[in-house]
Amino acid sequence: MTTVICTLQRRASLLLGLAGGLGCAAFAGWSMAGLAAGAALIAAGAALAARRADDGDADSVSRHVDELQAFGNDLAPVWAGQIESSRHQMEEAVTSLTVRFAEIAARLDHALGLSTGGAGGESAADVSARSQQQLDSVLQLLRTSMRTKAEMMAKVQGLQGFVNELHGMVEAIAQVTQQTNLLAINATIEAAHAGSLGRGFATVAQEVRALSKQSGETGVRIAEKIDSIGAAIVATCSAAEESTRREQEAVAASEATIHDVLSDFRSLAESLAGAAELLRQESQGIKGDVDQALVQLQFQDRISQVMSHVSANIERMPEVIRDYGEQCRGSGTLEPLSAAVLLAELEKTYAMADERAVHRGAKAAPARADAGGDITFF
Amino acid sequence: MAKTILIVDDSASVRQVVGIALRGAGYDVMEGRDGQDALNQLTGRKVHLIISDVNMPNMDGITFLKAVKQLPAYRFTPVIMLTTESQEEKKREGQLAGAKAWMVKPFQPAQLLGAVEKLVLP
Repeated sequence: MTTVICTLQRRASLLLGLAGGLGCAAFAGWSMAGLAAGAALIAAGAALAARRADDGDADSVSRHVDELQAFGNDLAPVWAGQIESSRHQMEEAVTSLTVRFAEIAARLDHALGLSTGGAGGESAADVSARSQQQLDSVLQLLRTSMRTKAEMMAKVQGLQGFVNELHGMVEAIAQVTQQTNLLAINATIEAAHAGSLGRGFATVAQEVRALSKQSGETGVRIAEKIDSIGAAIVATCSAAEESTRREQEAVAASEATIHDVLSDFRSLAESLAGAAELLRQESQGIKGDVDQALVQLQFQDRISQVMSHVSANIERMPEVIRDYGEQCRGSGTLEPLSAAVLLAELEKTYAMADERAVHRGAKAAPARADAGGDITFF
Repeated sequence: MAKTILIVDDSASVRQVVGIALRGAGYDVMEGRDGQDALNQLTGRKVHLIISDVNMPNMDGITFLKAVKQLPAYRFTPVIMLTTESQEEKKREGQLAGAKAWMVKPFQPAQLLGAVEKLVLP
């Protein structure tokens, strides 16, 4: 009866340790602290069982050792398997995240290149300045054309002076004609006074009068033509002046329109440039964050290593329990189960200062994006 | 022609991050999952620099480094050890094996590129 009670007490102690260990590990999400607390509770359960077995015989020692080995054999692979599975899942997820972040960073780089005209494109401000330059050239051409036209008109107006001179010449001819006619009349009178001797002279005087009349008529026609030319010059000048006035108005209107359009375009360009600059700054900020996220994701490598070390240590647990069992069977008593062997082995696998610090009981340092990166050149 | 850099790390995400930084700076990148895998890739192609982790399965970084130094075609190829390991004795081990630099993870891409530019073969 006593043996049965002792066995039940030992099993209860072991189960207490097992439940406590699993509870701690599960509660802490398979963290190092949880596993450590779990291991401590398992060791406490085993120690309690050992004390209870002090009164037992060799059979009970053997049974206890067998149960403990079965416990280790059953539990360690499951723990190690879960840790390895989590490690693989985390690695796959982080690798996938890294690829995504890298794509985001590359697209932001591309967008930044485009917004700063790095891909050979012109900024809106450049296009605005170039457009203004080209339109100014067009206006300059128009102004030059108008100046040339004004010069030509001045020359045409200069012809009016020649017309006036021609008028003077026609008047002089008319006067000469009139005087010639008077002279011919006087000659005719004088020829009549000379009687038959003046007959020939009278004929000449009549011819002179006829020529004088013809000259007068030609002078009138010339005057009429000069008047027509003068009127044509005046009309041309008037039409040209009207045309110049309209062209000046058109150029002024074009200039005002171009100025307005360019002003609107400049405002738009400035607004676009402001938006592009804001976008560029935001993109740069996001890219910086993404770059930092890529640095942060490297902590997965550190966590993965810690999990590997713990997993390998857990896998070693059944072997350590077996050695412990051999020791108990050899001595015929239940010795205290020490974690020192496993802890020493675990410590040897550490690669990082964090692991060593946590092993010594320090709190885990929070992951920092600016951590690491220390470089030593040899 | 772009220079070639061999990255050796058992962590795919670290290979990704290092690869992104190097490709962004115009380098060609080769990848090895561990020392043995990387060693199998050193078959005559010109490699201007090697960046290797230390703690890896199959073949660790120090053993890989020693093996590289035995290959006539690669004995002068500079090697940067990029690792979480920060112990001085490990660093000395790396130095004795022929490493040119020892960088502790996590790294800032700009720092890594600075070291690469300093050491990469012409």
